[in-house]
Amino acid sequence: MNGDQPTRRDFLYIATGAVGAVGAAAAAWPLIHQMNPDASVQALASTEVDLSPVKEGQIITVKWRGKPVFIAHRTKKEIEEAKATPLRDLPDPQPDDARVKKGKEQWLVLVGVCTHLGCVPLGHQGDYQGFFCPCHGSHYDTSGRIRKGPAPTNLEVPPYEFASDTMVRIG
Amino acid sequence: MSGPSNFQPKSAFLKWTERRLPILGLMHSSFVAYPTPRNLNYWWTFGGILSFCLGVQIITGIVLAMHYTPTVAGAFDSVEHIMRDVNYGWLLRYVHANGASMFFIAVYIHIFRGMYYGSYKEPREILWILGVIIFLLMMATAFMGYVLPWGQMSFWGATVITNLFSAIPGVGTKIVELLWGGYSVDQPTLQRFFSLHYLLPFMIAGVVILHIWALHEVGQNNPTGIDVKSDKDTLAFTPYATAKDNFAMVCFMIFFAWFVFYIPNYLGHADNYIPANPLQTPTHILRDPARDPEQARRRDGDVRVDRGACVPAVARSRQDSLCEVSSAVQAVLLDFCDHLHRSRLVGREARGRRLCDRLADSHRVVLHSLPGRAAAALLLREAVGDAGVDHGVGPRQAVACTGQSQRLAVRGI
Repeated sequence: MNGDQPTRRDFLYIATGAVGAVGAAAAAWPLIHQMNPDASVQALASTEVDLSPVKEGQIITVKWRGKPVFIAHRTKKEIEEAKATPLRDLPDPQPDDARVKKGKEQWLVLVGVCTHLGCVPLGHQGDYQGFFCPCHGSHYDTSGRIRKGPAPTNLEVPPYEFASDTMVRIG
Repeated sequence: MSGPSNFQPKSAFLKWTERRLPILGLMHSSFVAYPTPRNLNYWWTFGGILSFCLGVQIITGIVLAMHYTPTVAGAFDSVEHIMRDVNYGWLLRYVHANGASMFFIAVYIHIFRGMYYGSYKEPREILWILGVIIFLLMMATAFMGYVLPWGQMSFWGATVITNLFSAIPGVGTKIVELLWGGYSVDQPTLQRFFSLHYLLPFMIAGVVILHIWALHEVGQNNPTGIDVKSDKDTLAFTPYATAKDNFAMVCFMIFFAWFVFYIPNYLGHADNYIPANPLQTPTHILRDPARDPEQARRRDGDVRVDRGACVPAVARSRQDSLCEVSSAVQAVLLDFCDHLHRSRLVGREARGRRLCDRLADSHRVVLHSLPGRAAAALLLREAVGDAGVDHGVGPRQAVACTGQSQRLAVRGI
């Protein structure tokens, strides 16, 4: 026996081990994947909201994927303020028209979770009359952008589209 | 057998660890250097297969518990939710349900091996007793697991089996109410069964460790029944036993997978896909009267109904019937194997064959007292021996289930 040369048995050990490793990985995948959102959760992953009863100046909260979503029917003044704000004043610069749908500027749809530590901000409050988080004092403007306080980024805009003029589908 | 470990860690870190917690040395002396008799055959691979089964049951069980709801309103639906919605839920549930049956198939072979080769004899008595304890825990676990899907067979299986305790004179009803946490099988019963079904596998794992400890203390038996005398009679556990165990395990997994992927409900009963209904017993839970006139007679009131004797009428559901038959099989086979093996060793096969023919005739002997080897031998001798033939009494009469009816049966013969 030559001690330096790999033997047929070495090859068999490695080949067997490789097949075993593939098998173990294949068996592990269902055990891991079962923790991902299941079909019943995914079936409820989008929410349709009828906007016709929401009056100008009103903010409603709907639940989407277990989280609050704010739908604000903004007034002309609020839209003007949001558009007029210079980007250099913003910690997380983003123009207002990047946060709403073109032609539907009155509708502001936001995930109602403060980007600081996950509290739910209050509507029509704070220094900018947008949203104010009571936990650590983050002030958001009428476009949901962070202006003052510890929150690092703007309130998140969820994926949504208008199914009709008065029906929005979130998710 | 397991001498001091000759494990020498190479790296400085492992040396440091080994001096403080010699777990690597323990693993090495138990599963690498451990001397195994060199003549072990494939019947000796079922210990490893059983460890695999326990592992599969615990892992899939923990995962299933992430999606299961132990309430009478939610249990059945949550199982269907697992089957339809949860990613790979169908696979996990089928592996768990069929895995329980595979576990029992493997344990019967393991027990049979022990009986055939006399692995229960001196000095392996404690090893055997620990095995019996594991087997009892397995039956309790499987029974409670079968209740959890809360189908008709679950509910009525739970009702019938727990009602057996009502046969205890005086306190029977109180005991059954204690088990139920009420006046029938209901929410408290389901919830405690879920709790215990989660607990018991870990107790099994604990007793398995003791079982392996006891095994490694006295060393393995081998097909000759004569203990190994020197190192010449043994081989290292790794790679020899490990490779053989792994090969057997892969073969077992193919058998297992055949059930899981091709006939996943073969070992179950269709009625368990009907949600539990406390107001109606499924007709299938009773035996077919045409094939079983004895039970029909009892039901029609000819004979006073003996609860003990009704046990065989319990669910044809897998675990329940397996449980009830298993202890009988164990007791009868113990005697049979001892005879057969002895006669084979001394070359008197004729005697073994004769016993074999008799046993085929007496497979209906059901005996429920576990340490009942003596009782089984007595029953068997009474039933199929010369005396039995003289009186024209066949083994069918030797149906004995609880202590009470067992005495009756013995006296009856």
